This record gives sequence, structure tokens and C-alpha cells, in this order.
Amino acid sequence: MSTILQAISLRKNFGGVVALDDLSFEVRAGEIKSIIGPNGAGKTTLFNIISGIYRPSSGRVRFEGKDVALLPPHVIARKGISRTFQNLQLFANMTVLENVMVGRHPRTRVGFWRSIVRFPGVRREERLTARAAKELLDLVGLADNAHRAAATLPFGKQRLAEIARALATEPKLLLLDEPASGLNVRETEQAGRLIQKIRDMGKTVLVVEHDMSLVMGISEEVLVLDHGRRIAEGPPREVQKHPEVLRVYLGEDFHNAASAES
Amino acid sequence: MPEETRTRPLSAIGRIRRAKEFWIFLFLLAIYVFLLILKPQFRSPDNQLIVVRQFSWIAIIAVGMTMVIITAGIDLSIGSVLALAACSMGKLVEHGMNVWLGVLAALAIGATCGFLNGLAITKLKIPPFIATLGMMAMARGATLIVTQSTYSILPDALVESVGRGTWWGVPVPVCIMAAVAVWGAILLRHTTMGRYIYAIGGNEQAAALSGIRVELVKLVVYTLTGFLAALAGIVVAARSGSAQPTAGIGSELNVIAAVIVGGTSLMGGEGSVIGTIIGAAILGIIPCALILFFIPADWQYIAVGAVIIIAVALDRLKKR
Repeated sequence: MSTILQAISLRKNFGGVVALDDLSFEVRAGEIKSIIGPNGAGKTTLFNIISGIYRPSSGRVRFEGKDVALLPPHVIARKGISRTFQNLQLFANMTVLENVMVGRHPRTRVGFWRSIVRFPGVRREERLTARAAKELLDLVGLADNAHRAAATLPFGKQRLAEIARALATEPKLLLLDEPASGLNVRETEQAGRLIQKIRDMGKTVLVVEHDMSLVMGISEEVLVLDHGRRIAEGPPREVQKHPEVLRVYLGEDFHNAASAES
Repeated sequence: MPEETRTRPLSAIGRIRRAKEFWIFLFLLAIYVFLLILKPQFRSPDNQLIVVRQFSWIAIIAVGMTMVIITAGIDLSIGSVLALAACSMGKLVEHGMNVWLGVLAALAIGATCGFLNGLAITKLKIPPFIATLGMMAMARGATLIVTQSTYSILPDALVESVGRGTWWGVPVPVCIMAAVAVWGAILLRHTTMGRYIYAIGGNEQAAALSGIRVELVKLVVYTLTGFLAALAGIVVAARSGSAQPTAGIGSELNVIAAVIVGGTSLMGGEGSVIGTIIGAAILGIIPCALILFFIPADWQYIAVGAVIIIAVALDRLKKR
């Protein structure tokens, strides 16, 4: 499988605080890769750099072989990277359908200047956009909620709406920031199946998540961060047994006890 | 709550009753009917059109301001831009330029000021309040320099056609307002650009990450507002027959008030052109009502201020 995303010696400082420290990793096209680590490990900072909200202090991000680290967010979105947020970022006053249609617009053939007028061709495009948006709502299971204001949806459904909007830009790489946070067990299982379905549609998915059952259940690869550094990387089963990971997650004492036993 | 189980778009009537425009429209209607009943002189359509003509220039700018405020921005410079555009037109025409070329020049000057506002906001990352506060001062200064603080008399061609003229019995300024309002409403509600404007005000970061060219949309919105300020300046000057360097002072507050009374949120992301036109009408009809009841003109400000606060307070209470 080819590499779709490559982070090379990424570093990000906020004043004196080092959020990412010489981080390098790769994501292969068509896989589900999860990033885990304790709070403050730099996971969300990493997403913010990949999606163009932050610029790295140094280092590079290569997407499909091209540098993207210094591009503005809307250009990165158009190149095929899309994301969701840990704390939801929907357009609260719009309906669910309109939220998804906003995501869809950059992919339509209506250029910026034609967007101001309303020729028949534009109207036809609008209908196609609405249809594509409805299909995505079907995919995530929100078809019945299309015309509700996004802010009135229950939390779990808002997460799904955000995933639908992110998919509307037709990303090749989808970044999901804690898709299961705030969800109950059943909803988390559904989210896991949805993520696998999205992968099966040929998309690459990079997930930041705390819910270990979800991470271990769906990921082909897991990257473990601590203090902005990579401490382990590999298939879920291997990572789970990695001594550094046990130390970070369970504490020094546990690790010592575990090694004394063996 | 029935809303929780709603799965289809609202019916037309349901949508009208839910819209906040509906309630401010009822308020306007109440004042209107009240005047019709108590004041016979208000019953003539001509007198009513005079009232509309008086607030038409505020409403023209308010259409642009609605878009600006929906993006969670503000434009304080419109009063000065109005004066700069109108006075530049006056001086150019005085120096022999064809009056309609002068009109085009005024519109270009207004659009340019708006474009510079947009550049300061998007490229220099200056908050809209401050960027347009700077433009407010500079455009007023430029007006005083260009005119050397003198006014220009405008040619009859402009005054008769735009200022005093009518189309199908309707004063031209009212026709211009109606055209601008219809265009603005279509732009906001039925074009992709309109959805971009709401998206940016709703959540700028999410808009950018959805691939929207946030900076370009803002540039367009501020440029349009500058353009409309110039258009209003031409209307005001044509009405009075002269371009005054002091024109439009303080009008930014009236324009913003019309937008706010019309239900647009200063936080961005919601609002409508229809609401803004109703808001401008309410603020336009109040002075007229006070005059008809022989209440001293100074009370206008109290009444207008109270309406602004009551309108926003009612909206807050309804949301709770």
C-alpha cells in the first residue's frame, strides 16, 4: 500500500511548551490508523497542523507526496483532507442538510463568482448538491433529521452530522478527533462500524481516540504519543503489550510489577 | 416538543410563524394600523410613500450591513463612505464630468473603500470594528479635503430623475431600495455565496475547513457594503439637490439599529434581508408617528433607543 500522509520531524512550540517534539510517522492509503496517548500528548495539535489551522514550528507534512504544511485550511480541504472536532463545530443555525451542503460546495463545478448569481445551471448544481448531501446523511443514519436545526440534535447525532459534513468535501484522508467522546456504548459501536464503512469506501481514516475498545477494534495501526513524541507504533496487539505504552498509561509502578512477575 | 420529532421541512405557514421576522412584522403592522386609525392624513398612499422614501437610503445600506453582520463583522465606515462618494461625485460633476459618469465614479469610490476595509480585515487581520473605525475617520477626512468643506450643487438631470422622480408612481429611491432588497434577499437565501456568508458567521474555522474561501467571501461582502453606501449617498444627494461633506454622520448607528431590530444577531450566523427592511421601516415610521402626534422631535432618540432594546430583549426572552 502506498503512503498517503507523511509527517517528517514535526515540531510545534507554544512559547516555551513543546507540543510536538520531532515527530515522524506515515499513514498508508486505505488504512484506519489511530493515535492515542495521555492528555497533552499533542494529538489535537497534530490534527491542527495537518488540517492547516496551525503551522508547524519546523518539520514537514507531505500529502500524496506534496508539502502541505504551510497551506491555508481551505486549500488543504480542497486537496482532500477533511476533519471533525473533539468539541463539535457545526453551523448551529443551519439545518443538518445545509451543514452537509456547505461541505459539498467546494466540490461542485460552480465557481466562486458564479456562486453570487443564480443561473439555471447553478440551480441544477444546487439540486445535485442537495442529493449528494442526502446520500451522506443516509450513510451516517441521519436521513430523518435532515431538516432539523443542527443545534437541536442530540449530541451523538451532532457527531454523525459532523462526519457527514467532513465526508461531503470528498476527502481522501479523513481526520476524526475523538469521534466516540460523549457517546454511549451502543453509539460507540455504531461509530466504529461507520468508520469501517468509510474506510471500505476507499478512504483513509486517521483517528484520535481515548476509547480503547474502539481503537483496538477498528485500527490496522496505532501510534502512541506522549509529550509530543512517538513512543510506540504498530498493530493494536503489539502496541498494547509495549512496555513504554504500559508505563505511560498505567504508571511506573505497574510496569515494574509487571516486569518483576515475568 | 413537536420540533424534536420533525422530519420534514416545515409547512409554509409554520415557517412564517416560527420566523422572528413574523413578530417584528406584526409590530410594524400594529404601528401602521394605529396611525391609519388615528391620523387621517397618514391614510394617503403618497404620504406613506414619503415615509418610505425617507428611510430608503438607510435600508439600502442596511442590506449590505446585514451580510457583514451575518459574517460576525461590522462596518462603521458607511456614513463617511457615503459622504466621500457623494461629494466626489459632486466635485467631479462641478468640474465638468458627465453626471452619469460621476455616478459611476461615486459607486467605484464606495466599492473601493469597502474593498480596502475587506483587505484590512482579511490580510492585516484587523478586527472589523477597528478596521472600519479607521476607514470611518479617513473617509470623512478625505471628504473634507476633497470638498475643502464646501458643498456641491448637483445638476437637475440627477435631482429630477433620481431625487424627485417616480417610476410607476413610486419614488425612485424606493424603487432602488426595493431592487437592492430583492437582490440581497436572493443572494443570501438562494445562492451558494449566501450559504457561505451564514457558514462563516456560524463557525469561521469550520467554514475554512470545509473548503470555503473565507477571506474572499469577506472581501466581497465589505466591497458590496461600500458600494451600497455610495449608492445611498447618491440617493441622499439627489434628494437634497446637493452633496454635503457632513452627510451621513451618525448614520452607521441607524443602519446597524435597523439590522439588529430586524432580528440579525451581532454574533453572526443568523439574520435576513426581509427582517432588516422591516427593521428599517420600524425605525423610519417612529419619527413620523411622533410628529403626527405633535411630540417634540427630540423624543425620537428616546423612542428609537427603546425600540432597539425592546426588540433585542424580546428576542432573547423568546429563545429561552
